[in-house]
Amino acid sequence: MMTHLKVREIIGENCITSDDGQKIYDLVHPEMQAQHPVELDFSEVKIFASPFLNAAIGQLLRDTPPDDLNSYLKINNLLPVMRPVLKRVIENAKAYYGDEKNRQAVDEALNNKAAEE
Amino acid sequence: MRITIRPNVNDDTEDFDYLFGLLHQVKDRPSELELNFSKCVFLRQNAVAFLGGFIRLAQTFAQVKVSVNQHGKIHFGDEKVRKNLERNGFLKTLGLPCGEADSGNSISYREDRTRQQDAFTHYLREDWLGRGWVHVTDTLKSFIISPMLEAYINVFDHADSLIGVVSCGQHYPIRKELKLTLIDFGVGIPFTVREYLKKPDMKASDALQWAFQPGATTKIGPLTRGLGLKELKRFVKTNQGKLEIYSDRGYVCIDHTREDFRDRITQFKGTVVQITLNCDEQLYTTDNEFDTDESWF
Repeated sequence: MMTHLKVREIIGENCITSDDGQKIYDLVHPEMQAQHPVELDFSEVKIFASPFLNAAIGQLLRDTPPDDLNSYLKINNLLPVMRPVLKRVIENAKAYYGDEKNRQAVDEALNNKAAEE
Repeated sequence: MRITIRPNVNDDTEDFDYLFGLLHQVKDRPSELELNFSKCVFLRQNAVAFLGGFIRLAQTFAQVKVSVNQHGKIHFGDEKVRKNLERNGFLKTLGLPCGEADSGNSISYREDRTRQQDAFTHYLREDWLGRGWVHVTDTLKSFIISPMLEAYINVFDHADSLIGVVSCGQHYPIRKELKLTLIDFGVGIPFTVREYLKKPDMKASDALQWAFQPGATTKIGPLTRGLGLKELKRFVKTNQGKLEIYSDRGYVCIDHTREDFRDRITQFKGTVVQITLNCDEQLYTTDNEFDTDESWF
């Protein structure tokens, strides 16, 4: 049976902070670990910011394989203009959490770039 | 100590130098400070925001007086300046003598000592984008507002600003521009980046450039990294607007033709984020607004 989470009812119409994103993550993550389907319904949510999306969704990639997320997590009714932003959040998270080596490489690359400059 | 505000304060780099210089004038923290507007004939929104923050900061160490004449009215060099400061709520917010006025082309002067993201979201949605000066859909408004909210939240997460954040905006109908300026008087982005990277000698312009890289953030923790500045950059480029940031000695100017990161002589240990939107509605789109790819991960 699919769990339906209406983000508007849990957070409100403005989804901005990582604290609020963490609340969503805390609800979704155990279901993903148990391979239970979840629908994340963004209807009536008007504002998104990347700290929220990073915490709520990007963070799932730390220990959940992308295939599992595609299978068990449905993201519905996201504003069309925010779709590219969520895409970039996911790509960013995939690169960062992809594996420990990659994560260290991203950290090092950013630090080295700073050192070169 | 008395400071007479000069006749014109625009929003070019030289004008910001003048404003930042005011802070240097009070670096010895005088116990009394008088601000005199009698020569002032033109103030842009950035000057209004800065002067409001400056007064609040000065009030933490000085008795601040804004010059008033014998009838209890502030004497401005030009009636238009008084009217403008009345319209944008500057005088009222600072408890200075004023009457009631319609808001005209002003976007309210606003002070946030603490994070009030819902109230600030309302300010951006209604006061900045909701006045009919730009014709955008509600969903596109959300897209424009999001990175500005991130800039606002960053102040409370990173800046350690004694007076929080001050903001003010203005619509310029002849230039078809809509401007909004956010200012904090905190530690500045380069300081935070240097601390995070443990690179105390890093140039301010390099630190700002680092902050714009995909994946870069100074926030420590298990989460992936911020995209706010990158999203803001994408938006202003697509829509031929302009994003300017002053922080420490660093200056960034991004528009559809350039990304200019520079070090400047004048130092401001805080951060100014100024966005200029082009009111031409044909320019209001995102690069891939209607992406319908269903496979998220």
